[in-house]
Amino acid sequence: MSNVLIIENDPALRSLISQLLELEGFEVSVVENGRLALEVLGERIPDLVLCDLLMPEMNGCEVLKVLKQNPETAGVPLVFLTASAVPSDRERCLELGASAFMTKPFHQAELLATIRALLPEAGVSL
Amino acid sequence: MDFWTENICVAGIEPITRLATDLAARLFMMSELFPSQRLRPIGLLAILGTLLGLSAAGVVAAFDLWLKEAVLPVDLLIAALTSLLIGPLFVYVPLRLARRNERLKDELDAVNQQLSREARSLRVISAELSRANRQLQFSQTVAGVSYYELDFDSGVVNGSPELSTLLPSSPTDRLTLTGLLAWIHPEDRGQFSAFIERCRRDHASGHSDFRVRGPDDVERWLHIYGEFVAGNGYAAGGMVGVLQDVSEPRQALARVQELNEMKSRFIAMTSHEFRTPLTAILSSTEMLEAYADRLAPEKRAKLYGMIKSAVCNMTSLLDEVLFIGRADTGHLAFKPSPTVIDVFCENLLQEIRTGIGVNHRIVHLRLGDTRSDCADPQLLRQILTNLLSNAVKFSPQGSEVTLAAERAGESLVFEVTDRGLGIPPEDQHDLFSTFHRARNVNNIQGTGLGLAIVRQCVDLHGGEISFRSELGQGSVFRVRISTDGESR
Repeated sequence: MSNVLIIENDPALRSLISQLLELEGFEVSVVENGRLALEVLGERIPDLVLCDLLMPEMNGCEVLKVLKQNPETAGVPLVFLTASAVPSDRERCLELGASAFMTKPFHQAELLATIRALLPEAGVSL
Repeated sequence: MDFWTENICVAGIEPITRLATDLAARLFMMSELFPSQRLRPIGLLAILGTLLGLSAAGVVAAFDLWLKEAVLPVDLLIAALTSLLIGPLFVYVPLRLARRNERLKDELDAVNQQLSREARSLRVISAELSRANRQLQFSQTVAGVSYYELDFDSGVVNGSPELSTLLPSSPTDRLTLTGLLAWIHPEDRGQFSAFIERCRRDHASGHSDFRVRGPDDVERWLHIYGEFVAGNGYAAGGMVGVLQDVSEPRQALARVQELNEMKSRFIAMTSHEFRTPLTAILSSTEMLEAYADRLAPEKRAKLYGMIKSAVCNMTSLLDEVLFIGRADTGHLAFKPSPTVIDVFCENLLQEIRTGIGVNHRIVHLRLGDTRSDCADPQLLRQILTNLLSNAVKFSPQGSEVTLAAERAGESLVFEVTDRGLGIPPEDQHDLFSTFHRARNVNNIQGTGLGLAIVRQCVDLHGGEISFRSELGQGSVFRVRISTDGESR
């Protein structure tokens, strides 16, 4: 069972995304900001990270940099989920090594397809 | 011896001709006294009459001498023949002189008229020049433009009087390039020196902007245009050009940039704040569609609740944006009406206690008579609701939030106190700016519009708002509005 770490600032979206992934057979860890995410990453390396871009304390780009600097986590795919519609944000994140960049609001099918493309061994499709 | 013996007989004929010429000249001079052309012949007739009179007198005198045998007949004959020969000269010469004089007079008149015309023309040109000069000076003063000349050898700067309105120098001061550099903002000195050097080295023209301390000690932006002027011989030459005060356009540009930044912040905020609840709505509905049969009733209810909550958040955000928009465009009216502040506050607190402040202790401190005719209840509601909402949002559950209202002289003073996060000192400066949020709000929901709305409403009351805050200890916001209606 693939493990997905969700880093999301908004409590409603945290709850919705985790519910969706659990219903689709993923194992889910949820944190509300980048600093807490690094704590979780120190304990267990997930198969994929879904990360909000704009968060207090530590934003998504900073999390990605830390992830890429650590050889153990450098290969973990990271998908940004962001409410930012600034095109330069997308380019910057992909240059930093993000695997995908999804702008809110997104369709659940689109999210699941992206995750499955990055995790070929992931659970059954919708 | 009588007159004739003395003057004519002894001296001979020559004195007579000289006397006649002299008289004629005097008479011509007299004729000049007649300014009118019509009266001039009177002078000529007088000359002719005088000559005839003198001739007659000469004949009588000669006859008298002949009778007294003082002269020989042959002498008389010679005298008569001489008179016949010379006499016409007495008429011809004065006439020629008169004609010449007349011609000269005409020429002089023509020259005088020409001079008068040229003098009139010069007066017109002089008046136009004065007017153009006044217009130029007025334009220079209004536009803040000053002409200057810089001599590279001496470094002296001369210019129009407006220089002293742009620089902290008086019109009598000797201005030099070194002195000017000392007034220029340190960050702009290098660029200004490079501009002068470029004009000098390349014999070129150019322009540059720089900041300078003005006569009033207030920093201002100046625009300089200059072009190289070659010197004579070994002189290094100089520069001529204009200096212009561009502080206002610069400020306008800065204002436009600020507005653009605000617009960008607004777009970023609306994007983020609208897209997040939209995602919640879309995800909830898709989940209800796809997994309805696998979701427990309470989970389905939770999803419906999320949709409602997201819609409420978006509506609230829209209301705040519209309120700020109305305030910024001056469409927010101040409508004071008699208000019993105690009752007003108590009703408001009841709403807060049963709404967002359900987990806090909301205390109302009544401090004396607080009736007012000069408060706008709608705006006052915005002020107090936003302050109380912030106090509740940024303080721990169970903590106390206090609203105190009191009359202080001709003012009503409200204080909202919490024991919450406090505001970091580095965020306090921009606290009332639109969309500004303190860095320690973490994931507490908010748009950064609440305090901007409070400031707008306080301004409409002609009041004041202030605060004191300590990180980790809490904040106190104090609003003062006038009760006499004269502040606005």
